[in-house]
Amino acid sequence: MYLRSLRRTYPLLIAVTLLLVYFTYLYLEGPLIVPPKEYGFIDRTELRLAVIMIPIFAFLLPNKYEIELSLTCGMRTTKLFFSKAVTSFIYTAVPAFLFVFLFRYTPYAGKNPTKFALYVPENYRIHMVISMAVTLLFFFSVICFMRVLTRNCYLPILLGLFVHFTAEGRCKDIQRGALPPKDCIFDPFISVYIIGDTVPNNIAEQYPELGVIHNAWTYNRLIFFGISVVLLVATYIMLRREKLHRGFGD
Amino acid sequence: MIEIKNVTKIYPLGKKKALDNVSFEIPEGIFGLIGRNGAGKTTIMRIIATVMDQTGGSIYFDGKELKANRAEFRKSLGYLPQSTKLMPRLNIVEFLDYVCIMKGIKDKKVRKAKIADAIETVGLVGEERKRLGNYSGGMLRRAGIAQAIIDEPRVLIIDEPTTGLDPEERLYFLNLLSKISVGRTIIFSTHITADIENLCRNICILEQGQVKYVGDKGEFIDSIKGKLWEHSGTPEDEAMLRRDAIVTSVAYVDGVAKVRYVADGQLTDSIAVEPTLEDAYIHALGGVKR
Repeated sequence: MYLRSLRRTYPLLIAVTLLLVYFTYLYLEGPLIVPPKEYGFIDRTELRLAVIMIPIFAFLLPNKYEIELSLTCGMRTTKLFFSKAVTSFIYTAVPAFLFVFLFRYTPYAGKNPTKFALYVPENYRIHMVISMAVTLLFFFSVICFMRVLTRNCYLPILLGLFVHFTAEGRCKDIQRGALPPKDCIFDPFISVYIIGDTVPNNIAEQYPELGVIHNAWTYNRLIFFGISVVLLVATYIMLRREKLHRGFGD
Repeated sequence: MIEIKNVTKIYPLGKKKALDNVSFEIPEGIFGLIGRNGAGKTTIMRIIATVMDQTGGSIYFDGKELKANRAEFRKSLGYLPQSTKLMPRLNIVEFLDYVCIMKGIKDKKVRKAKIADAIETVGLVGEERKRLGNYSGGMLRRAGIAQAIIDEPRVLIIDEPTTGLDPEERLYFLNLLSKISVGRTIIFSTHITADIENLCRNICILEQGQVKYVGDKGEFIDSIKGKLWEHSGTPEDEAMLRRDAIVTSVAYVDGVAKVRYVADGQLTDSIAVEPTLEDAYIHALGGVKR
């Protein structure tokens, strides 16, 4: 079942990659970089990916007819649901991680450098990979949960977009100094704040909270990972009751 | 043999019972479930198909309670729901292959053979490359039957399959059902009595969630034998007959009202006629209201 799903939905991989290329290099003119130019960049692939994956997950999950058919065929709803969901997740995650590995620090050349970025001392790539994985998992779990809870694919899209744009707005506010840096602890897109390998003294002096924020990255990822696990377990429990198709909208 | 015992269904937020203490038995062969829209046909079929739970009562298949033995029953089940929303982007071969995978048929060769058999049975040979989204209503119903019979189930549940079909497709479909009914129990619901006139031996009539009649179709028709009359007259005669008898049909031909009615004896200048299933059905429902 999983193999069949993978075989049938491979165009998704191409579509997601192309969309990411478009959003990253064509539409937004290169990977965005946040802090002053000497501190390198961090991309916003997570942000773009979240927008791309929300409708993909919402629409590709099985509809009422498919669920009923699977039930009468003797297949568990959990298997049907996750065979589709996991496939979508893989095909969204693969290009995302490819992008992470392709990125490298480049100086920010824009006119409006942001005031705040999160300091990550070593190996930013590992941080980015973990950040990306948790963000993907978080949106994936939110959409799966809402899709099963509301039995509808439009409400999860609306909720996903609401979460996305709220978080994105928060990112901008924090980066521009409108919100205190420690607020990033509850931001699903925390990797947006990640910068280079070293934090110069003047930055450290300017932001005494920086040490706290560095820990915030760990707390943030743990919090969002925890939320994702809880939502996925709740989704699984709801699916096991085999009542998903009742009143399920397409 | 499927036994339905005191099944009740109340939908959440529903004020009245969709099924009210329904009991009947379904023997082998084609079993017709007739009733008006909203009578509870789809509800009982969905409960038997294990895609919905009843609020009360039990259903038994071969003496085993269905709820507790769902997994086992589903191995013997083929289901064609009322909705024709099959997967529009797939062709029939891809769709049936998907169904086979869902049924747990892992061997590719076995799947291929079963798919070829099913396509041939439902007469869709030559239509394999077309996407289901481009199929006509009748072809979609046949594709639905193909998925339902692909693993040779003992029980087939088919919910209002003839709705919206043109006469030719409808006849083809009914013949197909007759062909595949050998050695199976087919539960077939419809609100068109002509569909089951020549197809089913046993029927059940549902009305507002309750069983109006269950048993042999012939006996049901015979229940008004000798009591059915036809009168040709004026609209005033029609009004009189509606008041004093149970009218099963009214048709105006060249301004003359042809009224079929059930009464112990003729009420006006009438001729005795042979009852049809529709006459008996309308009589059971209390006669023509409009």
